[in-house]
Amino acid sequence: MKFFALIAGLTLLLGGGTATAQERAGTIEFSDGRLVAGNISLTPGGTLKIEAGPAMRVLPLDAVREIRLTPETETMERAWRFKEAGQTAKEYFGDPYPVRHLAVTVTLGDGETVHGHLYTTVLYVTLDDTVQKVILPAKQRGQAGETLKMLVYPARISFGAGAAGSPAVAGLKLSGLAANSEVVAITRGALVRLAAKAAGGPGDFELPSPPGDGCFLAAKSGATIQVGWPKSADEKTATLVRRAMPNSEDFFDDRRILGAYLDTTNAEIYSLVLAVRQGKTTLDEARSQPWRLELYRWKLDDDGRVMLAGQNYFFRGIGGKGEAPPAVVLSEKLWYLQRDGGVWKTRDE
Amino acid sequence: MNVDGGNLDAMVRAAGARLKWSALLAGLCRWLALSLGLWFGLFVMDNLLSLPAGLRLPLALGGAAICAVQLFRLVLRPAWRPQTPERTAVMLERRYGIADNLLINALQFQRQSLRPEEQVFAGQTIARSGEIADRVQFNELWDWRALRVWGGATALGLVFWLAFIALYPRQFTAAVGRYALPLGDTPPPGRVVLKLTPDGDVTVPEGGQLDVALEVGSPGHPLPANPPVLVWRERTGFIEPVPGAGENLAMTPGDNKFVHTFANLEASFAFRVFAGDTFTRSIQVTVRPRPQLKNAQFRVSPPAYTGLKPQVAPGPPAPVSALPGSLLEISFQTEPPVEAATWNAGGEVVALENHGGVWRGTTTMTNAGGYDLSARSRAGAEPVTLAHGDLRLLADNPPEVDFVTDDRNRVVQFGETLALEVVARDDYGLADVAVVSRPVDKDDAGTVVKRWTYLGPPGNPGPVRETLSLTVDPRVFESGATYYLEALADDFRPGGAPARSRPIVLRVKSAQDITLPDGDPLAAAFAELKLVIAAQEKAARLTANLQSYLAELKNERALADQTGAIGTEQNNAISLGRQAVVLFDAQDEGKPFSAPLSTLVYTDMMGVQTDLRDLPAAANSERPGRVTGIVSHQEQILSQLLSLLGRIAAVRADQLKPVAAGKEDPQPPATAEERQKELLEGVQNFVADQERILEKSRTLADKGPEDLTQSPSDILGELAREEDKWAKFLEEKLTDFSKLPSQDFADASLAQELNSVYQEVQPAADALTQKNVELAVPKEQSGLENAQELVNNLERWLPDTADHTKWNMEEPTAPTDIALAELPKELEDIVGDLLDQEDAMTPDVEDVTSSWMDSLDKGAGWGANDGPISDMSAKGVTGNQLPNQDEIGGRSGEGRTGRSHGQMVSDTAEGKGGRETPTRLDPEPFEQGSVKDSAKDDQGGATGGGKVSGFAGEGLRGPTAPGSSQKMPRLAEQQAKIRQQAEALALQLRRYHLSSGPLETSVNAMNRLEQTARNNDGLGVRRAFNLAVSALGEAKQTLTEQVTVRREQDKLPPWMREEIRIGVRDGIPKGYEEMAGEYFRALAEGDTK
Repeated sequence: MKFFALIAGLTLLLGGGTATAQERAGTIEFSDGRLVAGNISLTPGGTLKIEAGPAMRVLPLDAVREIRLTPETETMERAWRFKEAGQTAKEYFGDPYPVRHLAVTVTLGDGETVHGHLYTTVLYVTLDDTVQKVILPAKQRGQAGETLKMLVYPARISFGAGAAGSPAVAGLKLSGLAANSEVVAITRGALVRLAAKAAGGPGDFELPSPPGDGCFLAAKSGATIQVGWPKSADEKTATLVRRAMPNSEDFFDDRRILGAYLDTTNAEIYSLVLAVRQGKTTLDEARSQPWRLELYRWKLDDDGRVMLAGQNYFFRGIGGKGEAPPAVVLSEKLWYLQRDGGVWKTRDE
Repeated sequence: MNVDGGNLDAMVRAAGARLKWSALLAGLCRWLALSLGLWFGLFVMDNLLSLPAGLRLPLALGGAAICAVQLFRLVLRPAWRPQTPERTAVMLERRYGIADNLLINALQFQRQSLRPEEQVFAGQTIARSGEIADRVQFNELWDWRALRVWGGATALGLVFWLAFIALYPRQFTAAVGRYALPLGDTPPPGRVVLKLTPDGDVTVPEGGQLDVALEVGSPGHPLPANPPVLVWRERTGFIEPVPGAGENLAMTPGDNKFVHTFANLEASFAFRVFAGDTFTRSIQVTVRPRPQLKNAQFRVSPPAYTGLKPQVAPGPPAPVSALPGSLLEISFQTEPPVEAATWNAGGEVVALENHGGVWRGTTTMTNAGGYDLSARSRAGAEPVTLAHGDLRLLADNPPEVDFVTDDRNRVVQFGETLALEVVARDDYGLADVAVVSRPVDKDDAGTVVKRWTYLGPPGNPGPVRETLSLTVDPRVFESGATYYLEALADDFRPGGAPARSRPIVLRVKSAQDITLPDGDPLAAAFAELKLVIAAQEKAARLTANLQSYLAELKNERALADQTGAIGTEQNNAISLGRQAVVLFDAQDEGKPFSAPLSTLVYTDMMGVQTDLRDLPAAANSERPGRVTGIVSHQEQILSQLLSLLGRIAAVRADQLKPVAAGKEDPQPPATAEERQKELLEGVQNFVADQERILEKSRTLADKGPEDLTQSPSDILGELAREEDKWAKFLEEKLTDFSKLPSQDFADASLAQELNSVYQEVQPAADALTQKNVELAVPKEQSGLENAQELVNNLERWLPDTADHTKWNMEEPTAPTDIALAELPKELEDIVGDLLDQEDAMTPDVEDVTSSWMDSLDKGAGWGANDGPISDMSAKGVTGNQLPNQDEIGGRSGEGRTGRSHGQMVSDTAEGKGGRETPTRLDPEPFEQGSVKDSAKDDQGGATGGGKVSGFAGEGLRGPTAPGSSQKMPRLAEQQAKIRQQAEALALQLRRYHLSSGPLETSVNAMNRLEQTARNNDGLGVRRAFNLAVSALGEAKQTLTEQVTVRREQDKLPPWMREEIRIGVRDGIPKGYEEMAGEYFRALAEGDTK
């Protein structure tokens, strides 16, 4: 609503003086050998988004040691049109123009490399009083008559020492879980889903990435799911979520709010939702009714309104018509996690 | 003569020894005193002043030189110099004042052989010397004074030193080190004691980390307030002991120490730590480079069934894509060489082998995931990761197969021959293609009608076209039954299921349903033939029964009874057959059919009759075989009879046309005229209904109060509604934004829209009564095409019904990397009249926002329908349906106005209508290029990213629209119009002595709103708007109450009421009908809202 826009504006206004983009000293080497050196930064608040295989990686600039862009495909295309509607015959015209798709390999501070497709990103290179904008494209297209060589792209962005050495994985020590339990964490804020792998000893798991500022944890064993959640029920917050839920229509027509947690620091609400599709689906099978145990993140406006800002799921399954979804148990033990080096433990550990 | 001077000599020697020791002791004491004093001074000076190395060096050298010289002069030289008796004698002569060199002469005399005349003199001299020697007191020969002075000084110096060492051992140790190696990196002692870990130069592998810990002790002093500062610089071996020698880092407090970790080390560097008034030594950190990959390559050998040759691809860390089962050979070299290397993919570890410096290994691709290439530089060393990449499995897609036909619903009769064409293709080669038939009511694999098998592997990738002539044979197809004809295609994938085409529904007419055209001369014979078939069927059924119960019929008589019953029926069939033959023969057109029928009757049927008669007499063991033969024979006869029936019908009648409806649909297909008539009636009914509704509304309006009372309320309603509409410009419903799919618009394409076609569609009559349908699609039924290239160009049809489908898709569990295919330079578009009314777009049909994204090629046709999947291939058409209120992204030319956050690739926007869309700030980037905007009827608010319309510019990813400041003045103008109306109304209210306070409050608020909007003061706009709307609501409430009171008191003349009514009507913004209707309805029902 208008108010949101105003709040956003105020936020920008107030934050403008304090929000600073991460700056890293570095060098950008272009495909034609040109070098640009200076302090490199992203758009304030920006990140590097990379489609890496089946997952999307979102990386802060300070975790990166080097970015290499390499041509994935390079072709000379010509403008074309379909000769006739409904016919596949194409008609080409005009001079050829170059088209290049770029793949990216990002080397992180801890040596891990991420390969995939980079969502087009803008870098700012500051040197003394000059600011130069360098675009890291996912695809390049030249003008008709140009060649691939004329289509210059940033080939290598290297940063000086000081890349944060973020470990690639994080450990979890959760005693008391049933054998063969599946454990999933969802990070705060970005709601990145991290499926933990068993790591040897009983209760030892390994998350594929550190959970950053913390995470919500759920463990599934058979038909029961334990979710780390504070014991004290916040009915006021739950009411806000309940009122806002109809505004976020979803595939699931039966969404039960199992818990609502107010993050006062960030003016956000997290709600735990067991979502079940009760109505008919297009799946013409005995098991046709999907369910998900989801985590919703809501932004809390200062006038008490909440708006859905993101969601992700802990577990998903598909059951038969009328079949009850797994039982969800809120566990205070899984809520209070403490970090010991690279391992997150419950208070009892 | 020899003079006896033994006592003299002994005395001199004894005296000499004492003199020498005295001088030595005195010199030693003096040297010690000097040295101790000198170094004590230097040590104290360094402790106090932290002398720099440049000063310490000359001081140390000078101190050492002085000490050495003094040592030589005061100790070594006296010690080295021999104490001869002559020297001693001279010294004694000097000490005791002995004149005439008496002692030394006496000593000389004693050592020489003297002549007699000399002996007298010598004897005297010796004698006198002896006397003198007797006077020498050895105790006096020690230089007690010097010994006391310098010995005391030495003792004092030692006391100072001992006290210094005891009290300030650190300072002593540091000073020793600093003077011992004045140019060495020995930190000066400070108030604090620093213990650094590591305390010496270190070497770490590239990419490794170095943990630095500093323990700070402060004996007798408080710890420094500021944390230690670590000063470091890359590519240097030494850090000068000044804080400005490099980058400064404040160390992090830890448990009783301060720590810092240098992570991911790439280059050598040096550091030292400053804390309090001192610092540590400079530590040199040498980074040992990690082995680098050289000439890395993958050699991928696809599975043998594909017939593809091995391919060489860039090696680690590049991703490698291959079919499951492919053999992957890895080879690379390293610089510097490594001791061992391993390949780890998905938990499978392969130890690589070294062949002359080239590491090689082989593995089989079975799963997708990541791989790691690790190596050990030397035995026992920690393995380091040389490369990390992805293994991607290529999909061997199932074949595509389909019938080449538009007619998939056919009614056939026995004997009819269908020509079916099958087309199939596969990405790696087809193994076989088959056509199967199966009854629709049976869930079995069906019967293979025809199979084409191809050589391979590798098979034929196609597309292959195969033609099948299918004769409807009664032995295969059942009379009156319905079958699916499906084409199946197999490829050589191990374990791959065959692909299945869309079926053709084949409905086989029963004999009863096969007719001849009216008036056909063969009608009588045809009817007789049907009777033959019926009789033959009956006989066949009886024989089948006999076959079932044959084992129980042991008695020959009982069997004879049964065969007799069958024979009767078979005889009936023969009799009817004979008649049929006669009837066919009677007509010239029937003669071609009488011959085969005659053969059947007189040969086959009679043969069956004979077999039946012989059966009872046959041995028990032969009976089952004979019965089986009879059954088979009868089935054959029946089949041929049915074929004959179908063939006669086909020959005699016009060629049967495939129809959609079969036996179950007795209604003949509607003609085009009838259909048009139905549609027209439907539309007319719809129009009549609408007119009735409008009339009803008008009646309600007539029931309202007088014009005066209506108009102010009316205009308030309009105003409130207008305010409400206007408020939407500032309103954003962010809810759906939580599902925006990630999309990349690196390719800022602009395309012309040349092939724009207007397609007129006659709405379907039943569209008015179409039920709303929700299609809830679980993830299992969602799939992506992700076309890399646009190849297909399917014809499009616009729907003839309004949108009655609510698409509701389950969210994907992971994002997908969607291709950015090259778009055509000229887009095709189809536009039709809108079928939907906005007020009919109830929540029951609004699609639900989803974050599914695809690149569609084939999947974009045939019908132009809505749906929740965003598309990156700009293949959609504008169509004739109103956009839904869900969020849609992707790329497209200009379409209808609606909620979208994708990329417009059309270079012109002319305005194609759509839905009013509220102001939105979406997270998409502003792109290069501009769109020529000629739209006149934009109703919605501002949007977020996309191309700038109206002027060229290059924007960035971000939420703020560059033209936002232009929007506010526009809103201010709108607000001004509303305010003017409200002011006029307020004056009228005053004139009629109605309360105008709340309205005037609202007018003031509107005035403020205009000002704030012109000043681009968003917060002011918000406040003023709230106040204006609130006051308007209050004014409406007040006025409604007053109107109710004054309704009976209204005395205004009609002309005045008319004037007010007309005055109010003119210039009123449109779009208030609903609000006015609500108001009238409320008044008519006596409910004041």
